[in-house]
Amino acid sequence: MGKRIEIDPITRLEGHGKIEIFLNDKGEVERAYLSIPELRGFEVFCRGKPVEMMPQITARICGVCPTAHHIASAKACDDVYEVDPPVAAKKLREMLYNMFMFEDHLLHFYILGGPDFIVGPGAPKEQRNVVGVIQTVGLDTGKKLIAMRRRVRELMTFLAGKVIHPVWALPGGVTRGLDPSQQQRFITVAREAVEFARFTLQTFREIVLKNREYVEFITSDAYTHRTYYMGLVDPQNRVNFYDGDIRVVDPQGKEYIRFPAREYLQHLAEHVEPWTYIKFLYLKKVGWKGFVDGEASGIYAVAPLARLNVADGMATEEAQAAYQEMYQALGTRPVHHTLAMHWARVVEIMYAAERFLELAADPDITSQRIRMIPRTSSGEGVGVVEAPRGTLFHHYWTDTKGLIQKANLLVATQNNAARIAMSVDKAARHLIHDGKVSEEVLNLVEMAFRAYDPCHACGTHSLPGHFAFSVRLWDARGKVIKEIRNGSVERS
Amino acid sequence: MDPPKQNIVLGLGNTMHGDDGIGIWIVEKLQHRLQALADVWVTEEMGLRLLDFLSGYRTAVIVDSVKTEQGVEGELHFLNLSDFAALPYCGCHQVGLPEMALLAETMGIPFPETVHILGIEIEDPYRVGNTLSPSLKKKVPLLMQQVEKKIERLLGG
Repeated sequence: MGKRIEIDPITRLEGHGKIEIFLNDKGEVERAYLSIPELRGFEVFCRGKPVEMMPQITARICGVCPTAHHIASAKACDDVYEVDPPVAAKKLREMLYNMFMFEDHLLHFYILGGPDFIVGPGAPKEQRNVVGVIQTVGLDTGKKLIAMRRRVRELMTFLAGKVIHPVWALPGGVTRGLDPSQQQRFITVAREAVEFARFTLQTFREIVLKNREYVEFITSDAYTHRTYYMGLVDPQNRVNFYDGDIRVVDPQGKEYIRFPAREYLQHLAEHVEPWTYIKFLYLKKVGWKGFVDGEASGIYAVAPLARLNVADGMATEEAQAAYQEMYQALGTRPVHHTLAMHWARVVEIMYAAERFLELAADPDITSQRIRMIPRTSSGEGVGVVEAPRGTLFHHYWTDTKGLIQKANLLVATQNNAARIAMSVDKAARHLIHDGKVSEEVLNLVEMAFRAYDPCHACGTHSLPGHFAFSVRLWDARGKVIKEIRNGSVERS
Repeated sequence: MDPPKQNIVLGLGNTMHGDDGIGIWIVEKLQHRLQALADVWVTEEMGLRLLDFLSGYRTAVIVDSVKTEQGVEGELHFLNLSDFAALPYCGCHQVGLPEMALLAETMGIPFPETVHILGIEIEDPYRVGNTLSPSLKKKVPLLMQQVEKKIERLLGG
């Protein structure tokens, strides 16, 4: 008999993701907590490294959103060296960035979030997986999706090197421009992307909006929080993933503040809780009032729904129409329903594809003036982008030689952490009663955090490759009465 | 459809996460020695993105780090894809290897008939740093021998 091996994500040190649900004597939820891993030692590792290496270093920290870190880091380097990249370099960066947003959002819509809202939350457990999604959207759609993502990623590799290790953006611009002979290739794929985005919008209308159960879930109180929202906007207050000012709106949708990225420390602060490693960001001047909704609480959200909530509209035609359709259908602005995040993500897929096409066809994009050589250094720089999962800040301090003295990264999931914690707690309270809990109910609780597309990949990705996660239910006497783990493997 | 290529050896991990990158360290060092048997690649990508590497091959050998309950650092585990159960749903950001295989099967995407997994036991996959821990580094020469011998046995004919 072979050796018995247990590969259990729960044993993978203290940092695995988990939801802990505590019941009282009556079997009602006393409190539910979400805890996720923390990246350890990153600042120490960066110290002494040349700042221009940071776009490569930070891109390798995360296997899920390397492009977001690469571009945010390059922008922070621009700021350190007080250099404004040429127009073509900025447009090339923005084009690459929209290609990345397009393919990343597609992955979430069809594959990761799909089991919840394409197959449906009430579907049998054995159907709530990638196979169930493909059966619902059709095999041809699945094949189109794989082919579309591959074509976009091939062009990203052509432009910037390996997607996971882009060696391209650097202080003052990019290393490689777009040769005019290649422009048509990009335009062709961008047109296909727009077409696929239209198809995705239609798929959403046909499959998701006709799923009455899911639509009821979207607007249910269990998945609703009235918080502030934050995101990047262009000068006309339209969504922009690459550049602009940070805009924050209050729970009524009124602009609370608008500021350049460099001022983020004046407006954001961190709160620490004893039960998790994650630091909860909140609006400093509103203050930390605990895990509560409302105008008096500094908790805010980022990511697709927040981006749409802070904007007055979208900068491209079909995305604008989709934006209006969503707000008209849901009847309010801002939309406070967490599960509407998936709808907002589809609107952004349309925007990313249209913006990709605009930039691919832009005459400036083939200019070979792609770098401004840095000549001075301020010793400090901040870069910001909208990652798929929300606002991402990179902040570096350097010595006179440009060596990193200190680095601070605020990742999207930290911005969302407080609201995610509230969402998990509220969903658990609404859905679990009399101590009765099934896997289906726990899945509905998990849906509350899956909608945010939280990224924990900056942890690690040892086998079997999925994020280690567990849900544990505790009774009033401190005994675990149910536990669900993912990825457990036993072998004899 | 292109005819299937024969073999791929794929080293996985994240070399920015210390020992998590052991699969990449080992496969890079063995690259020249294994080229006669297979196409040899390393990548820090994960999940669905690995389909781009694996699709079209008949047999794949994946070398990656693994963290098990009773494992000893540097221990080599021999596993097959069937040892990993696919998740009942994709609850988190990544699609793991089992879900990827399931997706490929469902969609008729050419996927290796056989996937061998060589998992190298590590202590801490969370440390940031682009070097191996001293204790694992000492075991690299032995691990190289073990991995090479195993791959020769699996793919050598």
